[in-house]
Amino acid sequence: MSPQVAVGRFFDRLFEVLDSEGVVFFQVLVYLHTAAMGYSARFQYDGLPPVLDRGLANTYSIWPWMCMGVLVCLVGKILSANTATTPYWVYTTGLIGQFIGDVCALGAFAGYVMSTLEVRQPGEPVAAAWVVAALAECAFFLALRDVRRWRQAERAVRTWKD
Amino acid sequence: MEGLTAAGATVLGALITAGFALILAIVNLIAGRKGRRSDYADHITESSDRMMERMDKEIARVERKCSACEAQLQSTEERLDAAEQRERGLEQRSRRSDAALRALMGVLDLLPPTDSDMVNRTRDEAIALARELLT
Repeated sequence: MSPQVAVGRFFDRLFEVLDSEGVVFFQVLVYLHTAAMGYSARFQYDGLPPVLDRGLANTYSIWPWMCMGVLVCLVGKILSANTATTPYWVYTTGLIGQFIGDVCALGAFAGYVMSTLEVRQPGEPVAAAWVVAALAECAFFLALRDVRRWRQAERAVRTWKD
Repeated sequence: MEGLTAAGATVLGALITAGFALILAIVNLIAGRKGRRSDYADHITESSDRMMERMDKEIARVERKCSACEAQLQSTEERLDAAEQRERGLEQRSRRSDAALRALMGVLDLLPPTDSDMVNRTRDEAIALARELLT
């Protein structure tokens, strides 16, 4: 395949994903950045911003790992991407993997918001916490969706069995 | 080091949930690979394959029917085109005939009356007939 064809196909696929109005593309973007944030906090700087350091107290060392845990969601997405060809156990494991990643994201985002609220002085305005709170809500509903999809798959098996 | 804060509890709660889910995923991996549920799922896939096969057959049947209808439609359209062309030809011919009749009437009107009653009557009849044809 020539480079021109490869680039053309890449953009075709990209535009197809953008036009689909699905959340996967944006979820992958956010999660990759979240994982990079956790990696840099743990391995590059070996420390957290003061607001998290004080807010999380004893659990401060867990937070970067929670951020990196979102990568499990992306692995889960790959496992459960094709329902027609993947075996059932791979598909459901992928769904559980997505749930793990989404819960990790929820913990990381919600932990940041709670830390900010705890550490800030009374009357002090916050900005980033609003955005991160929205991301935490998204992660919560994505986790809820993962549970529903897993239950739907289980129900399909149970219905056939009965 | 301070005690457990609300933020710490949130992170810890998420960690415990994720941990339980991880255990569930491992159990699902180990038990699901050769488990009964896997068999059931295979059966579901098989039955859905059969359904898809039936749908494919039905689609092929409808497509065949559709191609027959398309051929019929095509021949009808061709006949309609031919009829339209004939109609256009007749219209053109009719316009030319009208022009010829008008020209003839003009010529007949210009002719002065003759001594022959038969010629005069024939001319009047020809003009009346031409008028009738033009209306």
